[in-house]
Amino acid sequence: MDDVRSWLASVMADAPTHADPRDLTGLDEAFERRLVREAGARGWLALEGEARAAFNFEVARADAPLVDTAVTLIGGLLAVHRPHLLGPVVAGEVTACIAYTEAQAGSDLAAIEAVADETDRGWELRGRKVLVTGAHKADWCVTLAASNFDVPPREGMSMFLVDMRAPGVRVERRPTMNGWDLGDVYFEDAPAQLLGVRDGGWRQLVTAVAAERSGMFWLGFARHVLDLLVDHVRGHDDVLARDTLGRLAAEWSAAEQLCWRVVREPDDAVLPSMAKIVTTELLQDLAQTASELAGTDGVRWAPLFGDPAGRFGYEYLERVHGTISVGANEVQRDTIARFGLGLR
Amino acid sequence: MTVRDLVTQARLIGWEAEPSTFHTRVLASELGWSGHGLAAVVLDPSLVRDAASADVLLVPVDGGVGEVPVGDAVIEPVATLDGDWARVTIAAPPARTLACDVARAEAVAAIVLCADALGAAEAALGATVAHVKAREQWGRPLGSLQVVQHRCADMLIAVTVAEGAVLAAADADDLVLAASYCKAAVIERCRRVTASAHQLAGGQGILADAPLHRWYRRVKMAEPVLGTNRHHRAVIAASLLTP
Repeated sequence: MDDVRSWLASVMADAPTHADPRDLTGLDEAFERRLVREAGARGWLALEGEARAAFNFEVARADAPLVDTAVTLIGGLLAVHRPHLLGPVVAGEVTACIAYTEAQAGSDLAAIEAVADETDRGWELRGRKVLVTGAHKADWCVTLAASNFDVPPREGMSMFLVDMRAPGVRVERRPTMNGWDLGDVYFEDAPAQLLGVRDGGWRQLVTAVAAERSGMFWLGFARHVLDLLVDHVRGHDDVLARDTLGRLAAEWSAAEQLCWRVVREPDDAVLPSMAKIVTTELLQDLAQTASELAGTDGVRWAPLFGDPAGRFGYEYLERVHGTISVGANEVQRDTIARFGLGLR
Repeated sequence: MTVRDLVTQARLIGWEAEPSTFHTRVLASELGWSGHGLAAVVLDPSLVRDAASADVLLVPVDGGVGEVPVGDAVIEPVATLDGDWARVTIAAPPARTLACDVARAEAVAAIVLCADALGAAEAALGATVAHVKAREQWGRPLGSLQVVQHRCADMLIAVTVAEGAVLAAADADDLVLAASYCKAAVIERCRRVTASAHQLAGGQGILADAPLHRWYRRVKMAEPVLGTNRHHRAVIAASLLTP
């Protein structure tokens, strides 16, 4: 990973001149696309297993716009169901988003209301998806819609691949509490391609979402905050700050072992849920503790790649959503109790 | 024996939570002592494990440890939460000295002690899950209640994270720093698991013939021994702050 680290150090030195606080990456789309293409050209988007996990950790630690890449978001699904579309994805030539959630279907995703119709022009979607990361810049979208009303919801939904530039697709940007935008995606008879098995979308979803939970990105974000905290304590040294730093570093190190275990034992039913809980709650702990230790400096705010003095305030607001997204931690605890301990 | 082997043994010993001189023998052996009988190691004279039943005392000196016959020391038993402990006052200089790396031996002993705490926490979790599956209130098993399920899930997470930390420390190159990372992360986690076990067991759990208190005591006793949590956090912080 030395080559990844030195490349990141070199390309990210330029990042502040490409700042865009309205994007989750904190960076403008042109800069993001350039970095994703360069990473693709170096073969890093095609990495698998432990190498991919190590890459994911490094990019998150470096604040690089290589976290929500098309490979991360839809690569696994395409590899299984549309392998011929993987080329541009691992080359870093396309961006993607995932649109599962609806206003009335969050933790209970089976309650989605989006509808897919098979017409003589092919599949067409109608419905509204919410809380979609990167919708405004995505080339492709993977989504979920009801395709069969004669069976229970979980047996009657399918996954679809949508070209975001197609007619009938509209994105409304919605600012988050931390300044960057999520998107509402409206499908109004939008053309779509079936992705995978017709009416088999639920099962595909369960598999795909588990793959998002290895925790390596969160572990990388957490390391970044820990690195900043080390710098802060160096400048404001006292015995209580040191005690706190020691605690958080030990917690981070223990979380790291768990994340690697998820990578090495990919078939375990509950390890991904554990890693998701541990890393996102550690991140919240780090953000709160760092901002509290910094006193009045800890409540200053600036977007990513803005004034570094505002970083702890940014972290405090930003780390609210990790414990919610990709399945709230309460839902993960249900999974662990059920499949890890046999409680029901 | 490798540190991994010791960790595997300690985990079972913590699970059983029976009185044992295992930790004293591990420490003496890591110090390179190979005499007959039991050698108690005087790291902190105010609280020495197994001193009252020891045949000889090992006292840290420059570059190693010195052997002191028990007859040359005053050994006063001290009542503690768990185990056999005594205050030791040495009356004469060591009869002979043994060159060894005391810091490394202490680190191995600390990692092995964490494995013992892990075993105790695993046992407490196992007992808890069995209890909440069997115990019915309001006409349903306690384990069907989401608040109980989430507490049990947190216990399983804690045990799993502690296991990863112990195994990583056992395999580390720098055992001294690894022991600090391990003890700072593991002991408090395992202590919380044994406390949660009590909460979910209800009133029956505090009876002396119920097993829970043995794990609860055992992990708490591991907390200040071989470096307090605070000491190990300070070691970690110093390692991060020194460029």
